[in-house]
Amino acid sequence: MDDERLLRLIEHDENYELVQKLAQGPSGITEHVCDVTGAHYVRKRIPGAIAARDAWERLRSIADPRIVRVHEIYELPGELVVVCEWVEGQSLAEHVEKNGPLTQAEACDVVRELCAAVDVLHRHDIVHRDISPTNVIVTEKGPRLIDLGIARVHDSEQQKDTTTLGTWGYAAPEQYGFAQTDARSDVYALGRLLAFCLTGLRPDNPRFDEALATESSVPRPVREVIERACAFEPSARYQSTPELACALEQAMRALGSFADEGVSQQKAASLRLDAQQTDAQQPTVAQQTVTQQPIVAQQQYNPPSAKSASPVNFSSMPTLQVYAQGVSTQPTTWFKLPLGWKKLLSGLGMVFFGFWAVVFALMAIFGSKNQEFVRGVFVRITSMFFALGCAAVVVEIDLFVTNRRHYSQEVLRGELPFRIFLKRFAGVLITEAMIFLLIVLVASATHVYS
Amino acid sequence: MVGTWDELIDSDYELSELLERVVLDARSLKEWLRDYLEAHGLTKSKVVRESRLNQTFAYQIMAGTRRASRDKLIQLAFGMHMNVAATNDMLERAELSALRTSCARDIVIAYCLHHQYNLSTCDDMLWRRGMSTLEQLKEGVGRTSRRTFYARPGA
Repeated sequence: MDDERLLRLIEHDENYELVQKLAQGPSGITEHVCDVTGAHYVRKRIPGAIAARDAWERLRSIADPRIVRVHEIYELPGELVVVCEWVEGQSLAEHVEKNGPLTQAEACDVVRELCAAVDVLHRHDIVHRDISPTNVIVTEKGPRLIDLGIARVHDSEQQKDTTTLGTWGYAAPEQYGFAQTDARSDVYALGRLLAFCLTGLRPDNPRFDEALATESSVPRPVREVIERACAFEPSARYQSTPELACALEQAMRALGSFADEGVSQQKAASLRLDAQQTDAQQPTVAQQTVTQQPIVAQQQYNPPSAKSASPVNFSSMPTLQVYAQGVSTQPTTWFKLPLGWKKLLSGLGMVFFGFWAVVFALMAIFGSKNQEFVRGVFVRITSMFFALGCAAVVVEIDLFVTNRRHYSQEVLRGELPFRIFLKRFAGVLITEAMIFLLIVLVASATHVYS
Repeated sequence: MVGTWDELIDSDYELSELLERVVLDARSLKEWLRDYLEAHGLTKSKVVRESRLNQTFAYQIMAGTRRASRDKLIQLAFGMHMNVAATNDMLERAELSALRTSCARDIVIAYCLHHQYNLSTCDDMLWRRGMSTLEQLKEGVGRTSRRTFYARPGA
């Protein structure tokens, strides 16, 4: 960038008068500014290292009334500056805090509108990655999605995001760094947002899970929609926002909340009644972006085509290879046992293998003096231990396949399933082999062998 | 209560009372520069232009994303028309040594800051006295032609 152009950009940047700094965090600085004509805007200063200019350029071409408009984009040393439309109104978080949880119809309407808005982003290969109640503004015309500061264009060749950002409690597990984010990450966030709207509680509230399980707050059909949308495994979620919206509508019909197809205009208007016209000189903090606990994950994701209902082929993602068949259902377990029993059997298997190794060594050392004893006891005992150990290994495999949370720590660190498996067993096997060798060496040294 | 070290040490207050009375200012260099610009009605573009620093570098100094050497910050001080006290404050916030009364070069710089001379005049004064200038020009580039006619003065 030549010096004169930079000076012009700096002068242009200074033409915006700062009204109020709204937020500051790892994703940048958000300010409420106004230009020389008095028009109000939101200016975001995004650090150059995490800014995605291509995503913002695409956003500027989007003219959806549910998504905040991008006014202009320019670069200054070390940062990308994006000037967006100033949207007046309360955030959804403030609305719920002030008025309590939304009704089921209101919450459904909000989420359906947001699903349509997010679908527009996905059609442009953009993933929002920061859908949260603070980034949804309640206006007279309906909810509006703002703060696309960490939005990204999905790249199919990327295995994982390069930086992680998001709002804790609404960011999908893959945003913590072990895989790319995609449309399903936004589906996850929308599911959490729906839960927030119905319970009035944030995910970090200790009563959140209890409130979610309460039938009066969250009816079972809607809860099932939320649970599926917020599944840990992306392939187990709804694969697109239209799918989520459709499922939500079906759930609401099952509850008898919708008398006819489509969204009732009266029900939709009930949500917009509380949108306040704020004084332009005294803006609310509706534009505030709260990153509670910034996560470091920059994921690039190829969202599936919005027109296609078929699941995306995730065979290129090593951590999701188990579900690479594209079937968005939980794998079938081999043993219908409680999780605790499976873990107990798996642990016992390690012990049995250890017994087998020690007994084998002892029999090999002392059994030469009593062949009958060896034939009788040795074979029976060691065979039993070996068989039990093998059975426990099978249980461990089943546990790994069917309960990803059993290995959640390793998975979150981005380790491949096969490596996780090897690590669990290799340590035990190596230890037992060393014990065996030690016994043999001691026996050899003391001339126990005849 | 804002005072010098001598005043603070000679005061009769207990330590806890002293800490309560002292006006603390823990602003970073970036915050301090921002407040200075706002208080004096200066714009970044004007400061960048008059400091004759590389525009990108100057902007990054004010944004707090780059660290500058002492001479570069003094250049910035000339661009912001600072006095000696403000310059020393800025240098200390950047964890650099302030202008010292025992250093001839610093005295020349302070003299120029006090009389609101511009950067070129200060560099000329330094050059005439055989001292290194603030603005380091590349060989054969920029305004060296004028200086080549200056014979370096004797010690």
